[in-house]
Amino acid sequence: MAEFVDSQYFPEGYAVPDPNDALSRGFWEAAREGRLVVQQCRDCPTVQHPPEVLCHACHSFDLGWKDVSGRATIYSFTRTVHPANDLLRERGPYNVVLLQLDDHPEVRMLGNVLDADEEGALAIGMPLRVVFERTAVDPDVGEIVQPRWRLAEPESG
Amino acid sequence: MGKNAARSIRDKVCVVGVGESEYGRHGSIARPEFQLAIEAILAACSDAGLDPRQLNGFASYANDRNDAIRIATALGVEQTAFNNMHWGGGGGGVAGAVANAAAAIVAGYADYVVAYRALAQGQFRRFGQASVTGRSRGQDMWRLAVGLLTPPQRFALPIRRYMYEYGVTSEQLGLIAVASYKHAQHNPRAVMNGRPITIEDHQNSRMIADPLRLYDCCQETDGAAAVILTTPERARDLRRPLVYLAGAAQGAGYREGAMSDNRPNYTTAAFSDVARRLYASAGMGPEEIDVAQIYENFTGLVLMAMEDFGLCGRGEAGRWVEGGRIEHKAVADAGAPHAGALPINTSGGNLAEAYTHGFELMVEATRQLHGTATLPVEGARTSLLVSGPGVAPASALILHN
Repeated sequence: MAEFVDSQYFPEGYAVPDPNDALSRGFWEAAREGRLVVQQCRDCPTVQHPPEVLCHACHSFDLGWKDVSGRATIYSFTRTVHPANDLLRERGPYNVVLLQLDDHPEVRMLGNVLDADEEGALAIGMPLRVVFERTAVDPDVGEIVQPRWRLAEPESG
Repeated sequence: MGKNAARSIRDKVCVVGVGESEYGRHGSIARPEFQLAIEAILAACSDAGLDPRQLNGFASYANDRNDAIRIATALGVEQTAFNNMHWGGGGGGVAGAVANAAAAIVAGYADYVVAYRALAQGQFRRFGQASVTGRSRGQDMWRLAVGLLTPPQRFALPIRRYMYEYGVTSEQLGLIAVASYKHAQHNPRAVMNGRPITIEDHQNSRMIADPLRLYDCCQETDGAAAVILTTPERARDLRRPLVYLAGAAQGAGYREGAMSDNRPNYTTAAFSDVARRLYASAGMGPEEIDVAQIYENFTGLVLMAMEDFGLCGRGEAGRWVEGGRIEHKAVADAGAPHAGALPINTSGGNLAEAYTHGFELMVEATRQLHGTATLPVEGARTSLLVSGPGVAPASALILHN
């Protein structure tokens, strides 16, 4: 079962993705349902993220979405201390991780790890699991749900 | 010799003059950015001994706001025969713009081409600040969604991974900053002239985006810089000794522009392909480089770029920069075992001279061979310029005399 969280990682007023963005609509629709997906070519085995107009390997425009497990590993990370604007100055330091999907290590995704903003909380190689943040309900575009991450226990076996 | 040898640009163009405006911290210069661009171009013409009205080509990059026709009109040039803007990549376009200018000369489009960049962050937007509201769309949304808003935040990720894979330390990153600051103390134009730092200062400087500290990051400044290129025949009638473009390359390798940090070769500065083409174009190799200007957006990427250009082996740059190797011997610590072996960023560069989006590094690459550098590298014959590590497209060139 997917875990949904109602607290927001970034403050009210911070930009939120437009879930009707032409290329990535399927990604945000899946997030509403608690599914993490990557773009999948229907004419060859390629998966790619972020979504692109066409398959970069075979040039097919016939692209769909593939569910992935939502388990991943930290490939790199930063803890941003110097804020880019006043809104984030009030929020305080936050983390950004670059992760590798366990199902598709060739695909990297950017993310944030919840409850891990303090110095020393993150390290390369740590396992992650996806959760879904109910960021906002927008009168024009509906519910906006974004994947975030939690530190996970290493999978046994 | 490959089939491209006959098409090489080697020795067909000379850099004949360099110049810059006053440099200052962002917001410190009241004169408009456009005026700074003009001041730099006039200074470069003066350095060359060229009447500015003879300029008939213009090249820049990174969507410079001060477009060629506006400059040409202001200068009253008789003819504008070449107008060129290099695509994308921010500071990855320094050598690219110069190479485009050179190509125009070889092609016969123009005789005297100026390549330039003006960037007054105090008058427009500081690169280290980003206001983010509303709804994000398109390619930007993935970075915005996670709060990756400024260049240090963005480049902290590949630099962290690089440090992890090769055991590179923060102190080793700091050696890049210390070298730039040491060199800037000899350069009266440098914004950080009179403000030297030690490795302890680097280690004690505040964290911006871990692992990048304040002194790992380029400055935010106001200023402009320019160089003039022409044919060797015309260069002989001008003021400076002949300095030739030995070779140039721009661009990227396979999928190096892939979004969300999905580019292959993640722990490189994305120069593998450019470096190979550069050396082929110049007909020389890394062992022939006497002095190098390596764009310091962030110190870690300088290390990665050194490896891409074969100045040291893969994963070795952290140790390689120890012992004063990248410091001019006049500023290296007493007894430093490798003092002055390959000085880099000899004017202070982006970190300590000024951040003209890296164009001051092209000016310095030239000055080292014109004999006008504030900290000349004795006997230098070849000068490497590396622009925009970690970005795509990036570019590089080699000058020689």
